[in-house]
Amino acid sequence: MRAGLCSAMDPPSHNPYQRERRLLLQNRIAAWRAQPDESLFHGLALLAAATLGVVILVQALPSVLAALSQAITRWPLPLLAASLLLIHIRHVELMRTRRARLRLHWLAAQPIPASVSRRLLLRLQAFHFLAYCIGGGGLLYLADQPPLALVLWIAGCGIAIAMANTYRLDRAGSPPSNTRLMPFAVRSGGSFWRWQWIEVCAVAAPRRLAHALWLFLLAPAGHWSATLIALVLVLIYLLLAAWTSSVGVLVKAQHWLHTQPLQSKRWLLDCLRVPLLILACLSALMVLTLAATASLRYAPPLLLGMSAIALLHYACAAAERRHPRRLQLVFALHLLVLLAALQSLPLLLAPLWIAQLFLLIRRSLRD
Amino acid sequence: MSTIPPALSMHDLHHAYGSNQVLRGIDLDLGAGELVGLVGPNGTGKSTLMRCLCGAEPIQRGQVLMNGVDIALDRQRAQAQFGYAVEVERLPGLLTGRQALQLVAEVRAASASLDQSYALCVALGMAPWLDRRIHEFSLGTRQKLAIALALIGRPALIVLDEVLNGLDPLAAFALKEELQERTRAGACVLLATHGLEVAERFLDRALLLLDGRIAADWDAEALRGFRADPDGGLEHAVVLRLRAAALERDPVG
Repeated sequence: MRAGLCSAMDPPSHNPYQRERRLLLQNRIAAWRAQPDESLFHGLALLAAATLGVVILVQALPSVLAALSQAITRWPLPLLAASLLLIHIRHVELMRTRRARLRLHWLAAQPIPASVSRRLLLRLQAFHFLAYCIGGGGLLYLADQPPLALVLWIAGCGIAIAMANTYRLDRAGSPPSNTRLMPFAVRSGGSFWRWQWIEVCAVAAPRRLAHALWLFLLAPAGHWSATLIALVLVLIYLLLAAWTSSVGVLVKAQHWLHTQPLQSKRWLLDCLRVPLLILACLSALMVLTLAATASLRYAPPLLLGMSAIALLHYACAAAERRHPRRLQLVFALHLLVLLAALQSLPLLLAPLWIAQLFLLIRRSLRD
Repeated sequence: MSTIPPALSMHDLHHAYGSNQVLRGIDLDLGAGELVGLVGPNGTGKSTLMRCLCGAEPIQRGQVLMNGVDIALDRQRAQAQFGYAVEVERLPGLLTGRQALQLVAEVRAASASLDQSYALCVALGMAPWLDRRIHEFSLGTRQKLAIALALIGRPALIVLDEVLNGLDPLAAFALKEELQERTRAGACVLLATHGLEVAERFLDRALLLLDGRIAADWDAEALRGFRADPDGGLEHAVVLRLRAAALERDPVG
């Protein structure tokens, strides 16, 4: 009766996830070859951007290293603990995302041995461990730190990454996080800024706050400036997360509302309220911090720069809301152009920024 | 003498999203050669049940056996006997249809049966699309690819979630023929659908999932009875059950 049907089978002789990646790479290369002119242009643009990035990094490196060396000398253990905690938090999030991705992968229903996924995650952990060791270790070496600091750093990285495995990361049965937030279920009627407000409030979730507070508690006791810096860093972290979350609503709204007879101009302006509020909070925080450290003279350029970058980010998000994957690249390219102007022709900076903003807004208003 | 285990067996299957209990104790046995439909209103747990079977959701309570193999204990062996049509939005957009078919065939150690898969693609009308990237496919073509992927290697248990929705009439007919041929060869097919006419005419058995439980189980004879009754039918029976359930939940309304 059941002849010809499969039963038990041998495990696959290869890693299907790696095979898929190889196929994707082959397809990408084939696509590049199919459009040589465009590929060459993109390659040259990326090379120029990378060169500019390296030049800026090399210029800034001596002052960064001096500041790092000074900070390590003053607060060696709190700095080490805070860095390792950040690595640990980042790694826990990464592993959670990767496991969820594997669980929802299109091949997840196929008979793939569990050891294949385990190996994949272990390899990822090893890669991150190496990256942190080389990156952090290199900085410590360049900042003239003793070998003991390097040993402590490597051991700490190993422990911080390994400890991520002790959590139960699968969160069995929990829905995707966004299904908990029903933007239009607000009792007083739906509006974009309320939707954004709900998303922003989700940023202050206990899990995120707990991580941030741990960082705050690691500030060395008795040094009010270090405590202030930790507090400011925590608040900046939360405000930046809130900004990302509120701007992310543009993409979600586009996805939901593109078939509705709504004018882009109307809802894009509606969506600007919450980001502006966040920007105002961030600016106030900066002014207070600078006032507390008697550096108020830096406030005007800092606030101007921050506001310019924030508005540029909002405009990029609005213009690229139909292609959210391109947002990071487009924003980075716009920033690089501004940075290049700052390096070579500072007088052009303001007109260039206005032109960028104008073009982005014009594109975002196309229905 | 050994008895053949059911193709799919569920005992006391529960699943919850946070405090929202979706599956509330499913007990079910599906035999080899059965073509079974799972019907029910939206949000009643059909897709969650499918996701539990394919491993996208963990088994929180209860047991699921595929040909006697507990998926919680030996997922790989259980999944080797199981073909699942993945949701179209999860298909890899940058691979071509042919590459996706080849990859799944390699995973299932069934490369030899790829010609059958290509023949199915021809029958479903998606052959011209095979060498294009999946992100260029229309919704219906993606659905056809998901079906072809689920049927690679002639699995003994085939689970399809609302796959008839996006298909053109010719492809839907070809798929029904293919599924009937598979069940004649001994495979068990579980098809979640809202199409009650399809369920009535095409299936051997229909299950009504309501509030996370199997509320009704109509066998082939009952379905034949529905077909013979010009005033009643499966639609009528389902609507009566749903109204009774609604009345039970909210007697005032």
